[in-house]
Amino acid sequence: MTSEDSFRERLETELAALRAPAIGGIAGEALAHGRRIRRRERVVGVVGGVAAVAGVTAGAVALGGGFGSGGAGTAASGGGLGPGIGPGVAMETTTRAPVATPTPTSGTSRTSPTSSPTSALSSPGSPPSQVLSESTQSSPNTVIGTVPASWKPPVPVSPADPTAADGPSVAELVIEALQRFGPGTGSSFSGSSISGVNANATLTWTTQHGAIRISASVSDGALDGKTPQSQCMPAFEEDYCAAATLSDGSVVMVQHGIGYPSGTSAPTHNNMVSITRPDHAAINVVEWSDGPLTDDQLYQIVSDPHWGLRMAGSFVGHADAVVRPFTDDGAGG
Amino acid sequence: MDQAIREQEFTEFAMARAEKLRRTAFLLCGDWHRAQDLTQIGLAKAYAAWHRIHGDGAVEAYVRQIIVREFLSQQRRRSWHEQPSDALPEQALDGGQERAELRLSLLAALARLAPKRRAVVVLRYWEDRSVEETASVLRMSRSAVKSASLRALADLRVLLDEDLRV
Repeated sequence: MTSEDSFRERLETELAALRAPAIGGIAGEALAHGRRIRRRERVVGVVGGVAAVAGVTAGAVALGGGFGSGGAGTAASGGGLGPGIGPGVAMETTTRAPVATPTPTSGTSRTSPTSSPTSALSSPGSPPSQVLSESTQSSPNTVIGTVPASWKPPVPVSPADPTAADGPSVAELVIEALQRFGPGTGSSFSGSSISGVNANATLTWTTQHGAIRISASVSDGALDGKTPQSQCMPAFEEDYCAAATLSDGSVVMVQHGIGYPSGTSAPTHNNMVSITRPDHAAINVVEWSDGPLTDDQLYQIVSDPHWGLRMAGSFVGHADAVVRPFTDDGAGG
Repeated sequence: MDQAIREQEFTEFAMARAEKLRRTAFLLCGDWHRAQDLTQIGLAKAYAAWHRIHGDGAVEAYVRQIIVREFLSQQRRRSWHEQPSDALPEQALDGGQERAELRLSLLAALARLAPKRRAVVVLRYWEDRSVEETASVLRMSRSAVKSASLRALADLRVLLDEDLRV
C-alpha cells in the first residue's frame, strides 16, 4: 500500500464515521437547475447586445447622481464619484454590471443592478442589507466584464513605527476613504484580527441618504497559494465578474453576487472588489448591497496605499481609540 | 442530441457519481449541506455543457473542477467570518468518544488548512489527481502545486503532531 493509499484510506475511514445526511434527489435537482442554465444561456445569447448597450447607458447616467454628494442617480449609474473626482472621469471609469435581463422562464426575482439607490440605502437604524430569499440564490447568469484601464496599481507606503493592523484600523481606513466620497459617519463596528495574518472589520456607513453595511479585510495572500486567482470563474452566486492583472502584477477582481455578512447565514447580494498586490497583501472590500457605491469607489478603497498587515503605529493607536465600540466577533483569519 | 437521451445519460451519471463528488466537496468545505450545494452546482453546470463534455469521459473531471472553483470563489466572500476551528466537523456514529476523536483528527486538521492548500491536498491525495491536473483545476503553476502540497503536508504534520506518511 502506498502512502497516498494510506492517506485516502484514513480519510475514507474518518468520513465513514460521520453521519452524512441523505443525499436525496440531487440528480433531479441538478437536472432542473441544469435546464434553467440552458434556457438562460439561450436567452442571454439573444439579449447580449442589448445588455452591452444598457451598460454603456448606465455609465452615462452616472453623471447625474452622487452617493454622499446630494445626487439622486439610479443604482444602475452607481452614483457619481463624489467630491474631488470630476464627472468627466466618472464617464470614463464608472463600472457597473451590464444589465442582465431576467429570463421569463427563470421564475426568480433576483434583484437587478438597476435597482434604485433608495432601495439599497435603508433608513438609519434599519437593517441595511438586501437579504435574498432562497429562491433567488442561484443565478448562472454571470456577466463577464472588464476592469477599467484607468485602475492603476497602488504604490504601498512604508509605515512609520509599523504595527500589526487590527479591526479598528481596518475600519478607520475604510472610513477615511468613504469620507473622500462625501460626509457620513461610521457605526456598529465589528471585526477581528490575527497579527500578521488577517485583519477585518464590518461597519455601517450612514449619510444623509441612508445607511449601508460595508466590510473590508487585509490578509496575507501568500497563505492561500502563490498564484492569486486572476480570471473570473463564473459561478451560480455571481451575476457579474471582472478580473485583471495590473501593470505591477497586482491582481484585481470585481464580483457582484451573493455572500454572507458577518454574523448571519442569510444570503445577501453584495458587490466586492479585491486586490492582491505583489507584496502578497490581499485587500477585500464588500458593499452589502447593490450600490450606491460604484466599483470605482470600491477600487479606490482597496487601492489605498496605506493598506497592509502592518500600518503606522500612530494610525493604529488612533483607530483603537476612536473606533468605538468595536465588537470582536472572533472571526479572525 | 435528443433531450430525452441527454437527460437519461445525465441522470445515470449523477446517480452513480454524486455521492463520491459530495464527499470531495465535504472535504473542501467541512459542511454536508454546503457540500450538497456545491455538488448540485457542479452537476447542473455539467448538464448545461453535456453536449460538449459527455463523449470524452471528462464529465467527472469537469464537475470536480466546478466544485473546487466554486468552493474557492465562495471562500473569497466568506473569508472574514470563517475561522479555523478545533471543533469536529460532524458528530460521529456510536462507537465511543475516544474512538471518534481518533478517527476525526485528520478531517479536523484538514479543515484548518488555508482553502487553496486544502484543495491541493484533496485533489492530490484524495482524488489522486496528478500535479498537472491539480494545477489545471486550480489555475496554479506546477511548481506552485508542488510547493503547496509540501507546505500543506508540513502543516498537517504539525497539526496532527505525527509523522504523516504521504
